[in-house]
Amino acid sequence: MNPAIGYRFWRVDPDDAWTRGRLQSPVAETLWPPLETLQAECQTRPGLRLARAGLHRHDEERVSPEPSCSCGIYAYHDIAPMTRALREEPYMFGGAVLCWGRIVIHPEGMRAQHARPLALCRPESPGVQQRTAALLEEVTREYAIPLLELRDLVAYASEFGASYKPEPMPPSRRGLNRVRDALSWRQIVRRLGKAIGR
Amino acid sequence: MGFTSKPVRVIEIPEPTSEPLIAPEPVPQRTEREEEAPLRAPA
Repeated sequence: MNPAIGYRFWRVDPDDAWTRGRLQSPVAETLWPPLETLQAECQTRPGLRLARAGLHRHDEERVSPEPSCSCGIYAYHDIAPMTRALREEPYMFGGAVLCWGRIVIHPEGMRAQHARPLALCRPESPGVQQRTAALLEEVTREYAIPLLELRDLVAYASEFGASYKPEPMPPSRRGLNRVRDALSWRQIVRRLGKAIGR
Repeated sequence: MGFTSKPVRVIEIPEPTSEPLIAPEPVPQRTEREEEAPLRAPA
């Protein structure tokens, strides 16, 4: 089974002396280690909603990502959601990642146990390109990954693994499933039971 | 980042055994001219 390919974005803070030149997850604020594999870790601490609900707690024996939790290393199946996010915030950069281990697949993306960056893509806007050129050079050197044009990112990433994007269910099939469910043996028995009970 | 939909599948992918840092170079194809070049007899 090939490693999974995904697309995501990172924040790189040019003003923070500690994190400058490092890729940082925008939500969990995890710093991605250069030249190493990032391992998922559940950060639901006691008192948080998910932990209180008993869905997932930080535990040595548990593996992140847990399907019922929200933990894991996030990546989209496609580049479109990644590029949308890049337009919204400065110093947010997109790229491709290689994922393996336990992978929880969602229709729009995946949550992975292990990941490492494969490549970054050059910002589309010439103004942003100019402003971030030195910073991006620093980041790509630190992680030993290439800086590619957005149009080349998918072709490059595909050399390393495969997409696990699920096939969308056609709408007609969804309708059929609903009819089949309504006419299922269990539903008929339940309805008959209700009718007899009256 | 966050997903609004529920997971559809869970898979286990083994660790890649050999992780190339750079995508593999395409193998150069022999051109027609090379194939048609006459063989020289050894001197």
